[in-house]
Formats: sequence, structure tokens, C-alpha cells
Amino acid sequence: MLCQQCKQRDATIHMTQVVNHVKEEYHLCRACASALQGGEMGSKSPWGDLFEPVLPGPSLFGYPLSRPDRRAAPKRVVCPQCGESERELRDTGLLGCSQCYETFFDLLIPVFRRAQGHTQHIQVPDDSAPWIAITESASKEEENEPTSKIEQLRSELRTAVEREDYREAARLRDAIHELEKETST
Amino acid sequence: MTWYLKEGPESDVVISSRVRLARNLNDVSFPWRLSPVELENVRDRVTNAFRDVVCNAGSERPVVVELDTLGEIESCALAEKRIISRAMLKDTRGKSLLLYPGESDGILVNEEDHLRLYSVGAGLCLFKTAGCVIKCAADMEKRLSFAKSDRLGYLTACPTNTGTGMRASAMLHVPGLIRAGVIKRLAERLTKAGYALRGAEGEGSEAYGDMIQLSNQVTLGVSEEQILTDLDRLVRDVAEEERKARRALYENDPPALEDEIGRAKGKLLFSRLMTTEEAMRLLSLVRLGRELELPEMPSFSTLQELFIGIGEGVLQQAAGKPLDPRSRDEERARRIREALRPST
Repeated sequence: MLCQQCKQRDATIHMTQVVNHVKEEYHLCRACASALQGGEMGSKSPWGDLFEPVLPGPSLFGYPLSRPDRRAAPKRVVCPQCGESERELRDTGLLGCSQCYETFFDLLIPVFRRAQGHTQHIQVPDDSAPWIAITESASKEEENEPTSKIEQLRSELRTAVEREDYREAARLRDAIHELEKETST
Repeated sequence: MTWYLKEGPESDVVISSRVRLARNLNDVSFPWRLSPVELENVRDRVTNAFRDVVCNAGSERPVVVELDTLGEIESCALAEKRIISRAMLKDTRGKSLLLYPGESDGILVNEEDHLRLYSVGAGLCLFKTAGCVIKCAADMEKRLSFAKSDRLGYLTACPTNTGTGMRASAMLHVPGLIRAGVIKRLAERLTKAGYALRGAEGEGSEAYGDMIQLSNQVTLGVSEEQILTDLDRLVRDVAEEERKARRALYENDPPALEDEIGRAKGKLLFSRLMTTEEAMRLLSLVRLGRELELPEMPSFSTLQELFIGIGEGVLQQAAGKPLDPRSRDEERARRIREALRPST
């Protein structure tokens, strides 16, 4: 079988793609397949998967390869809410509105697979994100800069002296000295 | 003190951390499909919600900057401070910047998405900045209904942001890795692993001043916590590699590197005309001198002040008038001399 693109070399790469329930088959030689993939033959990069038969287009969505049979072309899809067409999506790489996610769902899934490596969001309940609580206490700690800690210890020292608790006062005095040494270095 | 003048964790390599969340209103098309009137409408709704949040917190008055009313110099200065992207300046219709008191948190309205909430912090502090921005987003979500689905999470204009809408990044000073010639290889490896390595001003920018940005690319199918944990570990690894590269660079020929750094400081101290490009190159060397703990190097905050303060926008803003390129070079050299002059 000859390569459908250059019609010169033997087709050694055969691909099948299903878009909007329409099955399409491509038969290409290695050189044409490589050129169509932007030279990314056999690359493991999520951005240039060999078996994602898209032309390098201006967006992640690219363009489908020229169809062997024009009658098999799928009908034009347009978002009922914002009016974005499949063509606009391929040109801009941008969805028009939240409804577009449902309108172009079939087109999006391979893009997610390629660009994100996943096709489903992980929902984490708000109250099960312990690191947010951690960061809150961490930031509070940070606000307690050494100078303000020294201030706090000094006031504790004053009250300790006032109530004649000299053991506690000595401990506080040493702690203040330690902190002062730390901040001066 | 402004956040970028502070020294944060790992600040010998990691200059700053930034986390942004993309969110959209659920009943309006994404910004690129809206008419000017519709963009205004979105802007008003988001701004009102924002005012409500800030007033409720009982803090100072919020700052609302309508980008389409800003002059060229002011917009340029915002880009140099990395508050907005240069791409955002190409078309400013209906775009706004909402700043929380303290300037480290804000919301960009009507960029690619209706809301881009961000938070920045000094050094490596991804979890702390993420905590701030997630709280801001939660406050806004109590007042606005965001576009999201059970299967795909938050819905965004570009499918590269769908899911968490979270892009976390860290800015790193990597003169060692750049001189070792490994950046390109590192960038390729990171791309394959789902991360991006970019220049200091984001997408498409050069790594000037030997600064690079590392960020996550995957936003779908991973939790916010996982994104931050993975990036944090990656940044620590790259920072460690950078430290090794610096040590190797120094130990290879200490007088040669000390000479180069010393000459850079000399030029900065005595020049009368200085382009941004030259200043960034020399400041990076002096920063390296400080990071290698060489004597008589400027403080971290002085270096940061100059790194942010010598771009053409900030420079002209400080001068209070437009300056032609030559006058800018003169003014830049003057500011650098003054900042670095030993305080006697």
C-alpha cells in the first residue's frame, strides 16, 4: 500500500482515529508520519504522541489529517451556548465557555491525555487539606520574628522580677541572651 | 517591608515563590469571547466581590487598578515587578488588577480567565503562598459562582489549566548551572516530567540576570497538595545542583572568579551609562559573589531592589517623567551607584 500523503513510498504506519463516532484510517510512510508529527517520531513526550494523528497546528488541538474519504467528514460542531466552532477551537486552543467542555468533550479527552496525562480531576474535600492549616500556623510562627520574641521574653522577665521569682527570671534572662546572640550573627 | 526585599527560605538560590489559581464565572463566556461591554460587566462583578471581601476583613482600602486607564510607563513597571505579564498589556480592554493590602496577593481580572488569583512570597515558600491564594479564592467563591464540573474540576479557557487551575512556580538564580551549560538539557528533562523551565518574566522570555522560573504543567488529575509537594522537591533538587555547580565553578579557579565578580562590582560602582542587559549581567555576578559569601558584597535587599528597580518602566516611574533611552541608561547607572555606595 502506498503512503496516502506522498503517494510514493510504502505505507508502514497505520493509524485509526475515532472522532465524534466517525472512524478514520491513515496509512503513511515513516517520513510523512514523522513530518506530520513535527519530527517527534517515537517521542515519549506527552506533547508529541505519534499515535495522535493531528497536524502540528497553532494550538494543542492541531488539525486532523486530510481525510481519505470526504463523505466521512463529521458534521460541524458548534457550542450551543457561546457559538464557538470546532475550527475556532483548533485555531485558538481556547474553549469559549464552560458549556464548550461538554460540546467538545470527545475532542478534549485526547488533549487532556497528551497535555496533562490525566482525564479526571481529583476532588479533595476542603477540610482534608491539612497543609493549609499547617501553613497558617507556619505563617504565624514567621510573624513571631526574633525581635518580637525578645520583647515578649523581656515583659515576662519584668513580671517574674516583680513577683520575685528569681529562678524563672534567670532562665528568661539566659533565653534573651541566646536570642540576642542569634539575631546579631 | 515589601515582600521581595525579604530573605526567605533557600534564598541563596530561590528568590521567590508564586502560586496562581485560574477561576471563571459559570454564567459568562470566557474573556476572549466577550464584547467590551460584557468584559466591563465581569470586571464590575469581580471588583464588587473583592471589595466586599477586603472590607469584611476590616483591613485597609483595597487597590483597584484598571489596566486600560494606565499609561505606558505604569503598565511597563507592573510587568517589571512581575505583577502582570507583558502579554496582558497587548490588549488591556476590560482588564483590572485587584491588589490585597500588602501587595503580595492579588487578582488579575479578564486575562485568559475571568480571575487569575495569585500570591507571591520570598524564597521557597510554595505551601505558604498556596495557602494564601487558596484562602483568597475561597473568599471570592462565597460571593461568586465559579465554573466547575465534578469530572474536570475548575473549568478554564485553556485546557492546560483545567482541574485545579493551579500553576505554582519558583524563581531561581542559577549562574552555576547556566555556565555549566546544562540548562537546555535540564529544560528538556523537566518538560518530559511535566514541568516548565522559563526565563524570569515567564513564557517566551530570556533567562536574563541568570534567573529561571520552574513551574508545574499538569493541573488535572493531581491534587493541589501533590502539585506543591512535587514542585517543592524538584526546586530543592535543582537548588542543590546549582550549589554544586557554584562550588565547582569557584574551586576550579578562585582568583579568576573573584576577579570577575570584583570587576563587575567595580563597573556597577563607577559606570555613568548602563543598559538593562549589562546591569542584569553584572548584578547577577555580584549576587553570585554574595551567595559565595565573598567579602564586601551588597545585601540581599539591595540586590533585590536593583533587580526590580532598574527596568525602564520602574525607572521612569521613579523619575516621574518619560526618559529617552540614553537618559534611562544614565539614570540607571546613577541609581545603581547610589544603592551600592558603601554607607560611611
